[in-house]
Amino acid sequence: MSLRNLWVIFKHELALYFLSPVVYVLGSLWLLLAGYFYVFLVLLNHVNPPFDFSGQGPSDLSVYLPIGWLGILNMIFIPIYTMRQVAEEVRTGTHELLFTAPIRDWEIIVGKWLASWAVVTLLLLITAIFPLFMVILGRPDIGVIFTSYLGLWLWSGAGLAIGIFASALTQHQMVALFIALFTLWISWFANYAIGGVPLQQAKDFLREIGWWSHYTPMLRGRINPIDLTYFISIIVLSLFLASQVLGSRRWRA
Amino acid sequence: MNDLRLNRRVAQWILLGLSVIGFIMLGVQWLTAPNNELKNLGDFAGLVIGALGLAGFIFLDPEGLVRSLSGRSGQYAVATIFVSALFVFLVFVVYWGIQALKLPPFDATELQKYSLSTPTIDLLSKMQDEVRAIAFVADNDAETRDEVDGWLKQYALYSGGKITYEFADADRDPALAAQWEVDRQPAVVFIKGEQSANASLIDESSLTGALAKILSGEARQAYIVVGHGEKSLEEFGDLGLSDAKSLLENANFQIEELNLFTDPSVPEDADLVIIAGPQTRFSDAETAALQAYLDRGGKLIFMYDPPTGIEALLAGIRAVAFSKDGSRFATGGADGVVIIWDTASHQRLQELRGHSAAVIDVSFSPDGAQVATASTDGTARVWSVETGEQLTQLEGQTGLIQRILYSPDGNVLVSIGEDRFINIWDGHTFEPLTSPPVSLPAPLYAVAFSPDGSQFAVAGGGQTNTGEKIGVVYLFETATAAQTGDEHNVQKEAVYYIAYSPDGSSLYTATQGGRVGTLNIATGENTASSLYADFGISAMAVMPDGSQVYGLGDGSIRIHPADATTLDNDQIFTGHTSIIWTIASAPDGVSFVSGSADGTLRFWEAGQSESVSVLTAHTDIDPLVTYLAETWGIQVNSDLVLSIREDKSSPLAAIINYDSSAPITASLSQSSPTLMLTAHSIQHSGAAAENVQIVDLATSLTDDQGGSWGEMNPFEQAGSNAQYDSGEDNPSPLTLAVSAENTTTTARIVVFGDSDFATNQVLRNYTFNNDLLLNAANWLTQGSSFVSIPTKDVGLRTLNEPLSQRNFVIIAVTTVCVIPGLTLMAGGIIWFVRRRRR
Repeated sequence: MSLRNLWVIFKHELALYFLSPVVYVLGSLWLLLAGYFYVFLVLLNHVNPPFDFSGQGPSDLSVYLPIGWLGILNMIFIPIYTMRQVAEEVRTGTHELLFTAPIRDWEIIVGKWLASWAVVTLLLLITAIFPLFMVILGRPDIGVIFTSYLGLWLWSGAGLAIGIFASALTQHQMVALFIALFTLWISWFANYAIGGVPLQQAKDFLREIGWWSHYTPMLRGRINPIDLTYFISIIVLSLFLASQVLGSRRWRA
Repeated sequence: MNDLRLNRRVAQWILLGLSVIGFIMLGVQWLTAPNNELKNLGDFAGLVIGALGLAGFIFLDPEGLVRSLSGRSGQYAVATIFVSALFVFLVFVVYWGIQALKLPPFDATELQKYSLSTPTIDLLSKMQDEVRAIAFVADNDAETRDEVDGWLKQYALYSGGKITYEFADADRDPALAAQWEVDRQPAVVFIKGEQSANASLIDESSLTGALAKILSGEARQAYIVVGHGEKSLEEFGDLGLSDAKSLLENANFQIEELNLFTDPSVPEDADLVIIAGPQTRFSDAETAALQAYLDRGGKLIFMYDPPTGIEALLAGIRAVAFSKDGSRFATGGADGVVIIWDTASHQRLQELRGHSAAVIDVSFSPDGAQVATASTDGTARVWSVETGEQLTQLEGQTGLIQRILYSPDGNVLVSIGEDRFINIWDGHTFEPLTSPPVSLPAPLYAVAFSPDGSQFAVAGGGQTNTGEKIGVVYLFETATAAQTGDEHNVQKEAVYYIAYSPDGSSLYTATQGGRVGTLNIATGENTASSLYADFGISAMAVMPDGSQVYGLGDGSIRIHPADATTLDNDQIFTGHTSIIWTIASAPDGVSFVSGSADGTLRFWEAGQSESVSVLTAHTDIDPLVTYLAETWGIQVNSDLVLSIREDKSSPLAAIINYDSSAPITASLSQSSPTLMLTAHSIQHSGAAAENVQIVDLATSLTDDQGGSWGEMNPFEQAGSNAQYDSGEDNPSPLTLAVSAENTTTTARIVVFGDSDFATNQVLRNYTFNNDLLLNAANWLTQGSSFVSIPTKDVGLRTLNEPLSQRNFVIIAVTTVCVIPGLTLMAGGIIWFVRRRRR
């Protein structure tokens, strides 16, 4: 199995991202909000309670990191990155070109997904300045910072995979956007709907499908194997289904 | 035909919908069935509906179905749907498989915050019985649930399956919550047979404590003593002990209040008695009850704050006066009692009780039959020396009364106060002679009669409306109560002490700031100087030869020769250890007496530097404190332990090092930011008590760690400018807590030189203090459930130094402006370049 095709698609899609001013506007808006969250949390936690003689802030600096909020913020931003990915190809008919090229469906899908994930990863890397400040000024728990970013990174990857799948379902960008938004928010809401469900099995089910309950342990430095499985499962499943849907365009009228 | 086909198509869709609904029903049945097992035939109704619907769908148009499936795209569709369904199924199988493995989480925190510590693992591995746990967590609180699950998963794992757990929501299942006495979430209940124990905090120490409780059996009975202003277990505020109470209850203690005033002895079932910061003294009977309890092998936690600062200064003997013939003298104390003494034998003749606060002035009537007293309770009273009865209470001063004085002939009695009023009373009938009282512009602090009694002077002062500080003297004619002459402005601050020269020609004045002066009454000429500014003056008297006796703030006394302008010829007397509140010269002409906050009265004679004799009175020593000192050899000093940590310049509260060899403190880390806000050092002498073994538990910071000291100076204790004075203050390291065991009686005590380390305010911020209290209680009662969980140190994860405004601005500008701005700029460049290329 050669990954050459995948690499070509990935490079091509990545170049498209970096040549599009829209991505920069989105990225800077995301970074602005992230920075605002960070500064807000620093201010919020930097109080002088009677026992903080020193004014040295909270006992665990990792509360400065707005990773939880960024996870929620990504539910809005991520579908925008992926909404045009497949839908646009279908609308403009360029997918026909792809079909004639010696490229497999999954290579197209995974290449596009990897490119979008690379963009988001770059944004996450830029926010590494947040923990960097903390390391310079104090002694945060590096382990917690690492797992927090791991959680945000995996969740972003999973969200992008869902976005790609939604984009493959339709040829209209906006429809793709709303399908992805709806899916992500439903998954988020699942954890909050638990309280309204009377049955234990249903609660357990909702807890398993909601992303928030798999996300928060990592923000506090704990990696449950099942949480990793959850995010990887979503990525694999979404990308597989997306390539199936893309492939179906070959034989669907 | 067309219609029929249309109808058939509609029916087909309806059947397909029915089939889907049927299968959804089956799914819901499966999800909601206990253990996901479908047993009843009714559970399969959904399956039947689904299958029938599907069959009908196929039956209504089998040809059409075959046609659409046998086509090219039909084959592709079937293949795609089949492959997709298989793949989804596979992913789910893998997911549930990993879920079923219940793998323990990987703990990435530096201190293994989410991992069980060795004592807990030991306890779990030794478990014999099956224990069931119910975790009460709100259903929608995913975070907490995950946290609880993370802990209980490990408990189950290390107990080898002896512990099983389930989740419940107290709001949804109030009956279950009530059954296990859960009143707030989150909480975990451990259940073994009939026994159960609640952990109300989700941390290892609380969970293990609850578990150990049911593994160990019966609760231990603790009593907390009340009635002396102790801190309260029911108080939820900062200074209350409600957190300490739940901490102990979690550790299998049952706590009740014990009032030794109404219960003459400690109950038989007491496993532990706690005294948390008494503010008033124990009575002899109460002390005897505690002593009896300890003698039969009792266990005691004693947290004690001896008086310090202003409280320690405003103590001891506040006033002293001789009778005219010198045969008797009277003392007034901070305890509100007046004692009449026989001068020759130093015997107590009479105790006058009635004032509810410190007695700050006493005056004998010239015939020696009566004593007038002034107190900070705001009243002036006159007492019969013979019977000790109170004769009258003088109502005249509206503010704090300062002085009361009989005239030399005994016909009038003058009282003055901060309220700026002078009241003159008939010395025999106590009728007011001035009504309304004479009012002056300044607060008054001192009064003196001229030797012949024809006139008297009052003095006072303070800050004027313009902010200027003045000390003033006013002269009055005794017979008419009329002011003679003008106000004499004699000092640059309030005059607190005045005395006539023996010939009555001049008036000596002195201020608390150490200024002294002489006012010539005839000419109004005044000389003043700040002779004792380095010491401060707190008492003054005049000897028959005209020399002045000053009591100074450092506890020394000076005889200053009349008309001397320097300190060179002063005679210095030392012996008192605290501030001198009062000095009186004896009618014999050579001796004088001084009373001090140290609780002693010393007799002196001019020319002899040592005191002739010493009396102790008005000291109010707590018999319980005496008992601990004498029987156990443990004494809490009245210093205030202060620490300087690392490079911080201002002194903080006491920060503690733990002794790693003592059983109580072995598990407590050295690097913890444990603290006691107002702590006192503990002194113990092994020699004082036989069969008593004393172990230091906690000490203050050593010099290497930044240093600490026991501040002895009450002024520095009260102020913010305390610093270590070598020779006066207690040097580091100081013991702050000790445990002691009497090997004969098996009695055990733990003494803390601090009572606030277990208050809610401190416990909530400094978790090591939790452990100190709990370990002490556990050690005392030696419960089999003594599991000491080392607290994981999270206190050092702060900023290295306070976040400066500069650093904050750098952070804010970088994250909110620079980074998004640069990104936007990059986008702008791309856009511009691409536009030009087109």
